[in-house]
Amino acid sequence: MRIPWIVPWIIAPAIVGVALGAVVDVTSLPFVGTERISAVFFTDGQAYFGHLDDSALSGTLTLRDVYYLGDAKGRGTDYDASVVRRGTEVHQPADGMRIRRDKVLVIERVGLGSPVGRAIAAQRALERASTK
Amino acid sequence: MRLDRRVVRWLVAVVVALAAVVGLSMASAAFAPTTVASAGELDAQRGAAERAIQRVYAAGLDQLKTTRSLKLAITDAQAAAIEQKYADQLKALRRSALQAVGDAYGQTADQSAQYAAQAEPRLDGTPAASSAPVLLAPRLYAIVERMGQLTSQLTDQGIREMTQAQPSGSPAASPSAAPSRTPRPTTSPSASPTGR
Repeated sequence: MRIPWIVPWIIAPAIVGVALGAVVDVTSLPFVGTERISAVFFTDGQAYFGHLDDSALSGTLTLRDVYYLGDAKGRGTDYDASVVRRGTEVHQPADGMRIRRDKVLVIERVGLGSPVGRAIAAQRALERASTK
Repeated sequence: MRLDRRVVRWLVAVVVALAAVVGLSMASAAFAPTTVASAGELDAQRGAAERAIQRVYAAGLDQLKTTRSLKLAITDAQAAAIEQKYADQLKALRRSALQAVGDAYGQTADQSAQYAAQAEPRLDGTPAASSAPVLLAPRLYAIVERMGQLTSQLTDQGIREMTQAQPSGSPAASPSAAPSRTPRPTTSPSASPTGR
């Protein structure tokens, strides 16, 4: 029996589509939707916020433009926590943060209207204002 | 050795597919949409920073006031002078912090000074109506944190000066662990360069 010529042209793109669908997060495609800030919670309780690159081809996750929560108890602020931008530490980490997958407990999306989302947006606006 | 044309085609296809995946990932990182705060949100941040600065300032003044209300080894006039000296320094510190907030918003030095001068009486006046809590942007929090550190240093110094025993002939007069060389107001007669 001879297979009709169109069958490979249907099956092959379908396989490619399924494979890409498993690897690529459609909502994180460039120019699509709003900003996507992820909260990565580690098994030891630490949490970091930033743009997550979760490529299935890599053994690690990559977080860019990273922030984390610091203690602000007794500092007079509205919250007992502060948002700290990663990069100001003594070793001045650059080029994002690579994270071993087995150390990650949960990954969640940060609401852009949440206190953390707003603090990050305000930091960007201040950086732009000060560089004008 | 000649490669079969079919094999070459497949190799090219695989390389192109891999390049597309990598390129997509890089494009996602480079062109990811980012959110920037609106003017209203920046105003809310400024208000929250002012509130935090005022709380730190008020806590410093309270500490000095509480210490002065204790039974001290120095006279009340001396304690008042020390309290006034450190209250003035705390005020100057608050002004610097407010100017730093102005600087963070991209204002010129003159604009920041003007903003601080306008904000001070407002903060000293009636407490602002309660507003929704705001998590400070890292840049603004750094200002508040620095002010907190300097306020602690100033109030500690003021408290040390107020609680230090007056010098006397008794060897057990001063309980402080470390001798302080900070000058204190004194009523004891001293030699005057004018000879009077």
